[in-house]
Amino acid sequence: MFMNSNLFEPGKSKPERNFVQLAVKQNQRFDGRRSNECRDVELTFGSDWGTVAVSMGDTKVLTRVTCDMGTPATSRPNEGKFQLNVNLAGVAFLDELQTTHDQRSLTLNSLLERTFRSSRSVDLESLCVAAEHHVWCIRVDVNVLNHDGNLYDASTIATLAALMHFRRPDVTFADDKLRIYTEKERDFIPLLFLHYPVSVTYCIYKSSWQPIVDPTLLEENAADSVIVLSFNSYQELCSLNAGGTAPTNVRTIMQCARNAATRCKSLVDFIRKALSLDEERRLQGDRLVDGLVALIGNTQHKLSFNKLMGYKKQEQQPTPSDKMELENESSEEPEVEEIEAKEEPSKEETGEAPMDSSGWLPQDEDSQELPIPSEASTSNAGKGKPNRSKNKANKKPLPKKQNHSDSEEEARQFI
Amino acid sequence: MAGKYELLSEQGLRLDGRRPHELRRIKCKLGVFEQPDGSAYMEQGNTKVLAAVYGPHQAKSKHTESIINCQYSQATFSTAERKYRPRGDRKSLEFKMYLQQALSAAIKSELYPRSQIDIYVEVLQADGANYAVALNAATLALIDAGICLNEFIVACTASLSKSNIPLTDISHFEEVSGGPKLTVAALPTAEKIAFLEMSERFHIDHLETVIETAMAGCREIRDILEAAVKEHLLHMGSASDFAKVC
Amino acid sequence: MSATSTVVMPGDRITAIEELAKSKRVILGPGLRRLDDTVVASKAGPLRHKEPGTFWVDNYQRRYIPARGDLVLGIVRSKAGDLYRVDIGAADTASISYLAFEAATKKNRPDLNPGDLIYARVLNASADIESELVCVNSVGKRGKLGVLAEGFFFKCSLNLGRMLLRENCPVLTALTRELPYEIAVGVNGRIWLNAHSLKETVALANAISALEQTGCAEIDKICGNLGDFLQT
Repeated sequence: MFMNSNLFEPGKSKPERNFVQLAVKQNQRFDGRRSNECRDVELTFGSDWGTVAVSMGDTKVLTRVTCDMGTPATSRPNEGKFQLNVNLAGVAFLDELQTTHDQRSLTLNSLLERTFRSSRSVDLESLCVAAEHHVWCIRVDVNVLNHDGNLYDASTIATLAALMHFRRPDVTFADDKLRIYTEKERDFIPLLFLHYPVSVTYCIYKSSWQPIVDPTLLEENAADSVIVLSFNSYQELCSLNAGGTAPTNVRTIMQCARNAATRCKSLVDFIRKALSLDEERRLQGDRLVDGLVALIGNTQHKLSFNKLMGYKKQEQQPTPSDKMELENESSEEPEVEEIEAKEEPSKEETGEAPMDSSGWLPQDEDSQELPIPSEASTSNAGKGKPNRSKNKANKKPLPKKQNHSDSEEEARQFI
Repeated sequence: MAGKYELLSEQGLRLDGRRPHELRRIKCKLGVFEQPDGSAYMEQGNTKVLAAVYGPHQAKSKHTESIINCQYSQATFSTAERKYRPRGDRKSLEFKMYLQQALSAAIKSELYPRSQIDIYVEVLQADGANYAVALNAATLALIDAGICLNEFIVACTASLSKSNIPLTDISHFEEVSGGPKLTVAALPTAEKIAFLEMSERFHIDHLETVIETAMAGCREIRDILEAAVKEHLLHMGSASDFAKVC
Repeated sequence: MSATSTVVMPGDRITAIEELAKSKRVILGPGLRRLDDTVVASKAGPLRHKEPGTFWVDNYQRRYIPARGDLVLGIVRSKAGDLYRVDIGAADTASISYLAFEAATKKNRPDLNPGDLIYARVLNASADIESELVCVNSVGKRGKLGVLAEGFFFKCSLNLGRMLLRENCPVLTALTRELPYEIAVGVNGRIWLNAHSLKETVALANAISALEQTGCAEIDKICGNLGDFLQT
């Protein structure tokens, strides 16, 4: 699936790099967030057990967990198998070198392996049915649909959510006979976990000591160093990777680690809440989402982090932790906007996210929504730019010379 | 917190008889080969690594900045079981990337535009801390080749025993027995970390101590390497008489 | 330009144009091809018409195909002897000679380094050759072309670029009322912006990217909000 909104990678050229470095120095981010603010995480569970689509801003990852009966490895005869596979093919940028693409898929793979396999998050011994003969082999397939920075976090959240959502069939092994029950005969069983890890990514630039969290693609490509930390809900560090051309000192890493630990905890809580909501919905017999397009598009089954966690962005945030609505962020946006433009780096990008996807999906999708969101989306268009609310002295009455007149001239000659 | 075995006995000794903060015995030698521009051999305990540097030479691709090209490979006889793929497997590619990252932080690449520096590292015997020793050997080889560095870049590993005492410089058995493993590549004098990698898990409260332990290990290794470099210079310089200065 | 547009599919034969061609001179723009005496559409999109006889098919496109006379934003990739190789987002890199700058002589070379952003005009381009750019107009003066320093540059679709460049587009003038800025729009889907402060630049960039989704009709709302937020 090629959902890239950019055909080339922003942030690789010199002018962009310089701009981003300058922006970070002044503590400005392109989409209006503060340096320690993350994008909203949206989860959508599929109709199959173990299918999850995660989107953080424009970064979209789809993960699927499947299981199979198999024979165990000879070195570990009483443990199930766990296989992880990352598919980055959908985001191969055309202007990109093959080596960058390989590197990226390698780092992603290695990070996920370390976070889930080496730290033993899934209890593999519980997957053993008959030692040395029959064990469950769990396979996790991560498909990156769109890369807008921070693939690491999106993939770990997606993997964890998929693994927690997944159910395997019940099985009995008696008298050398293996019997696997279908869903109708016996309920499927969830996997057993020892701990629940997720990751948080920080970017460091040479121009400033302050790291920024959850980078977009532009920020990530222009970054000098990247720190990826994985914590679990017990505040244990599961994996850490820090590297790049800007050496950092221990203090920065520790600071990042502390912030990451709290965020990871809340992320795991969010996944749990989302899972329980999904359970309720299934019990109610709701017609679940089918198919890929519905899964990654805007459906009403989307569960948003900000909503569920009662995340307080601005003063007037009535954050009910009820079911997700499609344009949830956008429906809050207008009231905030009109009321007071206080010092907030509001989530402009979430205003854009529904817009983007609505542009991608056929038009009738929009008409299904309530009239309020639709006008919200237009006012979102209005706020298609960040609210950098610090500017007091920006009324420069003299208009600077505008170069666009030249291009307009030219336009006349051609069209 | 993790790990199947207790890595520290009641007397406070590790499996090979070391104290928690002791490094393994380090032996190193620069200039072991004739052909490459710079070479080094390094032993840390039982881990033996060879590094060779070619460069700066003309880059094959038309690039305006300097290219640092690394290759990490383990000899097929380096591990207990014969290793089928010496290079090109996932681990080697990962280490290659990490080496590149760490060394780009150390090499003054603005002095070598349009050139390529090749660094080849071969692990002859792998007994834990393979990446760290490889990086240290690469630093020595770069110094031997006369390539300008910002500073020594030194790597060290650290771990945590079950009783939460940090251990420096872990061996293969300590690695495999499931304890957490942290590798730090740092610029010791500047006290900056160029690369950090960690696997397994332990509580965040211990993170700082473990990193500090690794950094202390780096500082120690740096002193040892410095002594080795000075000796090598004396030895080389005695032929051309330039070592009289130091 | 007429506002009516029928949507044509690739392979549709457009008899209306053929009729017109019998009496008048007709120019076929992008998306239309002539096969002997028939006119066939090769792209899917609305058929547009401009007096006195120009037809073309609009479509949403991102990849730029160089055409002579276009104003484009390019990134200098490398120096190769007398030429600079510039990436304009097309299939091939374009080239620009070092003499194609104002006041450049053999002794006095322009100060252009790989990674710089330039605003240039396409001198000649065709499917078979590598396109050539110049940074001077026919008189030898620089005009508004040349190296762009500072500022922020980002990619958009070709349609947005063309829309901004139309003379009756209210966007740029509307934005002027809010804040002073400099802008360079490339027909190859790249836009460069510069305002007095970083915040304004970023705000402006977001405003223009938002246009991609909404269109000119919303421009007043966008400007209004932009103004409000820059004032607070």
